[in-house]
Amino acid sequence: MNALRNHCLIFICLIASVNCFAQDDTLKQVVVTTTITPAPSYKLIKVENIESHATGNLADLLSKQTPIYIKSSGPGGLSTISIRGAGASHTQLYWNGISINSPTLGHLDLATLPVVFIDDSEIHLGASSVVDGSGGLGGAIQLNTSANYKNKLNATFRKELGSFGIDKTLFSINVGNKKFQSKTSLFRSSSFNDFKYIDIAQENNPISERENAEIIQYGIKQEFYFTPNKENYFAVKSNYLDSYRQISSALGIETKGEHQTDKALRLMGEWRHGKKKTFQHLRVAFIKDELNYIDTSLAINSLISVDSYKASYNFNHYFNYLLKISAQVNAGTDIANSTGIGAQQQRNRQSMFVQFEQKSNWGYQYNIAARQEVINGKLTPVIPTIGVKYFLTKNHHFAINANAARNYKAPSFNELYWNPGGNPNLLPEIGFTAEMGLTYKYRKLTFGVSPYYSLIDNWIQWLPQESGIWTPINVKQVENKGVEIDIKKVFNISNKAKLHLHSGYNYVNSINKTSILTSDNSIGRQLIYVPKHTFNIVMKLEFEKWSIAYNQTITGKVFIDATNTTYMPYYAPADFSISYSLKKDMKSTDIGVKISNLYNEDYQIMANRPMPGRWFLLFLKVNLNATNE
Amino acid sequence: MQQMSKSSSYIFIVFVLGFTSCKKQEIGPQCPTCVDENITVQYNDVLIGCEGNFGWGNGSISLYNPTNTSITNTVFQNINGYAIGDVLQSITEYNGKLFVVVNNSGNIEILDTATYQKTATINGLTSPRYFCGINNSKAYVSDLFSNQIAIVDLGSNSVIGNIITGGWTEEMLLVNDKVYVCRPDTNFILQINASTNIIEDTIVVGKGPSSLVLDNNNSLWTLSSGGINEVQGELNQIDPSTNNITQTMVFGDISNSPNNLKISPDGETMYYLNNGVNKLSIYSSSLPSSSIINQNGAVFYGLGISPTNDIYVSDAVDYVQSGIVYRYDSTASLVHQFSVGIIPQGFWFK
Repeated sequence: MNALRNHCLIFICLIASVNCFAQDDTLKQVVVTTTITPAPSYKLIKVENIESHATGNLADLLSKQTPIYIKSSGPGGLSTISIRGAGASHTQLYWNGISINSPTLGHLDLATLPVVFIDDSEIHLGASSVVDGSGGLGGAIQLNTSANYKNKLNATFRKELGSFGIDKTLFSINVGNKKFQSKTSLFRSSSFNDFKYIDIAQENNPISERENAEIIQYGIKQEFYFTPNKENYFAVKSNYLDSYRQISSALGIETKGEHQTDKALRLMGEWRHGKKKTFQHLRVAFIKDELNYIDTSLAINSLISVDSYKASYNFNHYFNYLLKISAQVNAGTDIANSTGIGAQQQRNRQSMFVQFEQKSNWGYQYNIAARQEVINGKLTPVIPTIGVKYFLTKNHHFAINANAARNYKAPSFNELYWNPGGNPNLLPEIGFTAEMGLTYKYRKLTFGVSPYYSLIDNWIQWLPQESGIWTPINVKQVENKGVEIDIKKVFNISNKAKLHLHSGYNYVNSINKTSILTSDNSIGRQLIYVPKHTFNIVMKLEFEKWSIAYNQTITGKVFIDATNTTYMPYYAPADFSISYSLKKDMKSTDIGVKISNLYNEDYQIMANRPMPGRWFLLFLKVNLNATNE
Repeated sequence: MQQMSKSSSYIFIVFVLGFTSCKKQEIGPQCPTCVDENITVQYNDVLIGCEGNFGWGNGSISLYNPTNTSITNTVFQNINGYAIGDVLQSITEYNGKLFVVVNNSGNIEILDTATYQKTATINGLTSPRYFCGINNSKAYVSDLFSNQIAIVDLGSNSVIGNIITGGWTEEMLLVNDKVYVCRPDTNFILQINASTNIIEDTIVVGKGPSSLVLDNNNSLWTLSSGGINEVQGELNQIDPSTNNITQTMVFGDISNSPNNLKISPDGETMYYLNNGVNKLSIYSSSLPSSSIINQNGAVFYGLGISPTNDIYVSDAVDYVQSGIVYRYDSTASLVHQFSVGIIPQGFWFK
């Protein structure tokens, strides 16, 4: 009986956390996946249906597939994320474990991250982000790529044509054998975005056409994977994006032809080594980011260029299958040149992380971890985290978990050095977060509910000083309380038909608790652009060669002033798509149509930034696939 | 199995139908507490120009009546059916009309002072700041980025020409067919001939002049901030008949950024902001040593002196919440404080 339990635990460990190694029997080869990931007591969201969003950007993907709030200025426009009421720069993004948030801005514009660059994504909410690095006061998003060693040849051509000039082309080719894999993707995506909208900023609210909103993006991804033997894995990963965007104005402002180019190069070398009970993982990366904003009428030509060099070494050791220790050492340098900050700025960061995980033979597991970072030679506060998971029933269907962490976020280059106004005396924003969770997993039903509490101190806000210069200051203390509910079920309607259902609901009460300002009337009120309620549901019906998908999101109203007198109304756009798949031998062809904003809702996410009404997309996908089996 | 299939389809259909039936009318920013169908215009109204946040299109006008202390926010939208635009910079009365300069929208909305109804719009401006009426047919509009002053024809309400200024121009004042213009990124005041539109003189004052007033002895006063910790701020007195500086008062602390020079209705007393509200007589030869109204940790943003010598001062708090206006009487004791729109900045007294 005990043996069976142990077996069960190993199994749970395998499915619950990727940090266990997976053995592929068919290949008789260990694919070493030794990245340190959060222990099972933490809350993770696995982002689904990534492949079907391959021609989109990360903002599109997350806003449809999760109930997380994405603040977007329009299709393809600046898009930022708010997790659990925290700000855009409080979500840290990691590409294969390497931080890719802009060191100058603090956040990453999700519209500049094409989904084709990633194979899988996991959202680490609250405390779990400490495992990835510091600064994820709301959470962290892992964007990973991987190879399938069964693949011999997989070539895909994808074309999409749609309303307001959407034209997307994607070509991918993956070739290799059991030891070597190469993955290549090339894409071009463009759109005029000249959709019609109700112009509320004009007398009598006429129907107008959006101006200066064109987008053209080119991208390439190239990755090589090499696994010479059971113990070693090497990879070289790279991607490059060249994006041109016109910046459409808020309603009531005549367009001045503002536009922005973003160029991002990401390069990484990776080595993983696994032997017996010890696994090591080394990554070195170079990231080059260039952002150029041009407004000729106002003579603005702002250029930000950042070079980042990063290295990360992970070490995992299993004393036995119940006890594991992990350690991580990171080092990195960011060198920024920006017209906004004047002189070149450099920041060196080193950090060390240690995690200890233990599981009992029967039903609980716990973990303790801590991270210590050094920024430009100065020790930052230690950020510890602790978590525990307990199975309530013997069959392991019901589990309860709890965890807590302290975290902090160092100010961005702009906050420190912007000229004029940068504040070199800014304190880091300090976070504390605690959460609980109840999960139920049985067969094809997964249900989870997790209430959480978090406090962010020294919240940074830009305020003008006596001189009229805007300066970032540690102004507020923000308290976030909320609950997240997630339900997922697969219905096998018949052996030919399957219905996938995945739905999430988030509630967040995010309030300003204290302020250094006199007569601040925002105390006790909801933060601006933080919806209390967000909901999403993804339904996918697969029936023989047909696939029908329905996606509904509902985002509750958001206040746009801190005293909560003005708000943006709720919006609930739905998407519907239907596709037909024709398979013949190694070749498959999919054709389909997608209707976005099905009910033709007139809405804005950000004030005076209209979103398109109902729009259409036709897509064609041709795939050639051969495996090594 | 068949049963299962049916129930699943039902779930699907119910969801789809459930959402199709959700129809709503609200589009864009909403402010239920701002809505007021019956705005009554009174003889002693105060209009407060609220900038709103750059790029958000939430500039607004708040209406305050000092007699019954009533406040109505977003007055322009309530009366005209749409928001006034992005970054409301200034409100100037000329020939019985209000010229509301909306900086980032690049236009000027012209309102009737009797009804606050829009009568016309002047479009085609780059980054307009202030309006200065010259005569029944002509006005100047200063600009932050266009490096020129726009000449507006008040008959057609359109831009008919420009005066090259080489940089940022701010407040303007017409004195005897001469227009004096602040050049805040320099240390001079331009003097333009209002008939020929030609710059005739450049008067050197303190660094960063942005506001100017005319006293009842026909002397011009201009206040310079001193830049951002560059030099000390200055208050300069100019004789408009000669364009000579007749008096200069220098602020003691380089970190001071005095701004918002205003004058009392009788033209005898000047007010400005500098770590609070400060007051001095036009006959004074030195700056006051202390403020008459302390800002107590706040940063005062706008200043206005009413026809009854009440002092109105605004606090934008954190710049994303309803701003606060404090009304003091002439002895600097607080009469009333009230909430207005986002970033209250300018006052117009009917």
